[in-house]
Amino acid sequence: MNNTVLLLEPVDLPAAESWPATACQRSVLGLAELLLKDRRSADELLRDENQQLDLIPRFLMIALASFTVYAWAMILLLDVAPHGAIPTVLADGWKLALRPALALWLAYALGLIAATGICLPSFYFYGLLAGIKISFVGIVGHTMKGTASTAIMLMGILPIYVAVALGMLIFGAPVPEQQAIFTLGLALPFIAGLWGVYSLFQGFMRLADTLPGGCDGKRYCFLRRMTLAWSACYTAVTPLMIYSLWSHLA
Amino acid sequence: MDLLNTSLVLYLMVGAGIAVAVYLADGDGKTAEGRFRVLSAVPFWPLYVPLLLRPNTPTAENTEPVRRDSACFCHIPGRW
Repeated sequence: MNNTVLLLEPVDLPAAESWPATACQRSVLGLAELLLKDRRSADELLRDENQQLDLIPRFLMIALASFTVYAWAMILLLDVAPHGAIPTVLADGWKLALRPALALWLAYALGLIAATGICLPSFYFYGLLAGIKISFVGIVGHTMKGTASTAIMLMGILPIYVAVALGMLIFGAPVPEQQAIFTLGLALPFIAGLWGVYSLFQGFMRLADTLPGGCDGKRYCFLRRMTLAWSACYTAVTPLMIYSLWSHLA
Repeated sequence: MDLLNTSLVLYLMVGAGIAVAVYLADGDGKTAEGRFRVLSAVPFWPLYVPLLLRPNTPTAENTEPVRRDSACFCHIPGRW
């Protein structure tokens, strides 16, 4: 009886594709792409304390650039709109001049990010209360990642919004409808902010593996509620911050 | 309104101090990104304070174990 021995040669399986953490991939545009395509890798990068020093200013850069583009698009639209179509919150201070325009830009660009600074201590407290292992720098990193995600989503929906608003202006839609669309425009960062909140929520949920009892315990549920409370706190503070800045500067 | 102006001045003074600290800590204030960090530290200093105060964790190259069987010991002058 012939015994045949099968020789099996090892086959190199392709490794799971992951984002190489090269300096190029972590440039500002590389990070924006990472936030769009692979947020898990962005969360993994944020876990490395040595990378946070580079990541946080780059997230800030993405957010500032995007909010600036958004604010100036809104300023141009409001400038060409008839006076009756200006949203009620802006109607008192808005006129075709440099000061209200700069005020609106600063209110959005600074307000959206400054609200993060105000909420940071409570964010850190919520994290500690939930029991996850995260440093204050980590909290800043995750918050800025959420803000940058909001900014990227805002850049995605802004062209559609501008097309609709311009269409209504050019084809002479009734003034109350124009006012409604401009009011919606002012709320656009908050609509885009839902994506940022979701990104933040996902990032925090991935930190659940640092919980003492693992992911299955009651603490996981508590962490989820804390993260939702976190998001509610930020959502409440931000419009107040923007309105305060606008009314002070305009 | 005066209270807001006074608070704003204090806020920006702290921001200027933090910006100097960021400049000194970074050491690359000449690149575009370095300049952005320093300038953005003035209005957004609460985001930079935790970065400045974080403990220095050793980088990968610093924590690389020394190979004691390495032949490079023979190049070190002195009692070796």
